[in-house]
Amino acid sequence: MRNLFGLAVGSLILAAGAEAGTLTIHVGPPALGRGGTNPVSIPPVNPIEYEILYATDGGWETVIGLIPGLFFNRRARTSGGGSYVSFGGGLVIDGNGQGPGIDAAIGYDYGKPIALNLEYRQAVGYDFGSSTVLSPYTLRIGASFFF
Amino acid sequence: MAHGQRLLASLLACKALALGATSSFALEAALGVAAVDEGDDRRRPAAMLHAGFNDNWQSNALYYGRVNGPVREETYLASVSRRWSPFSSKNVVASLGAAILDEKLTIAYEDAADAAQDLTENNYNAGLAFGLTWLPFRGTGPLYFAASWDAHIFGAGQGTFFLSTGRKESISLLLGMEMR
Repeated sequence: MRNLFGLAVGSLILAAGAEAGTLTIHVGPPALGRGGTNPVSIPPVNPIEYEILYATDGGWETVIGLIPGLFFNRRARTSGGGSYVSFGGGLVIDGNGQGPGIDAAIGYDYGKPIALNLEYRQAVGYDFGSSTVLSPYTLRIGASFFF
Repeated sequence: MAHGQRLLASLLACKALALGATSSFALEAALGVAAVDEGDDRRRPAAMLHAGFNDNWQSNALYYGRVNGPVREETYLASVSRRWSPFSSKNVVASLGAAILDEKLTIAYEDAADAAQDLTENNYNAGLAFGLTWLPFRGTGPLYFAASWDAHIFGAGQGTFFLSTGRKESISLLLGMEMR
């Protein structure tokens, strides 16, 4: 798992150097597959509450988070607006396991060059080990940096 | 004055034509089955009703429940959403709107002696609906078929300020008719 995260972070750094885009840092409680989400911790020191997104101006998005997982997505922005929808696939992780799956998100950036971001993200995956369908989700808030 | 009225009428006519160009008349109705997750990675079978209007609006209704002895649990979920095609394919549609939920609990004992313990309780909540739908035959009518992945997100009282939520997620298959 640590190697996978290293690979993902490395890919993110390479991608960030290659093309202009948006880097978003999120905080917010994830739903682990054990009910809804708890309130965000105060102060927010729990690593499962964090997520990093990198979206290129070309419409590609990389998502790195302990929950709901690691994803590579297509992102579509509304013309002239701050809202976007993304859809793709990757590794879904929640409290009941991990496995391949798909994810989708809707979000909004308010402001520029630094924006307040609010995003809902959901994923569905399958853990072959426990034969479980995983359905984590997050509602997170954060900051987006346009460069 | 007459010139002003004519100008206004022309502008309104242009606006009406522009609206007509972006939102063609269409009606769709479908029935389907869904698997609903309530946050615990377990799927509950549900029945689903769908209606669509003019390509831009849709409404979904979900019903599921179970009976366990004298206890009957039922969930009614309805949403109205604006929808659009965010990606280059017109067959993939995203939707965002409002959702309303009623979780109904009925306890009804068979014995008349226990009737005092009978109970009916409705728990309502309102939230947001977000979904992605795949429409492989969109616009070809009269067959309407859709595979849909929808979320209904509800705030958890005051915990909503700290991003605490509950969610009903459905994965559904719908079959129906489309008129244009």
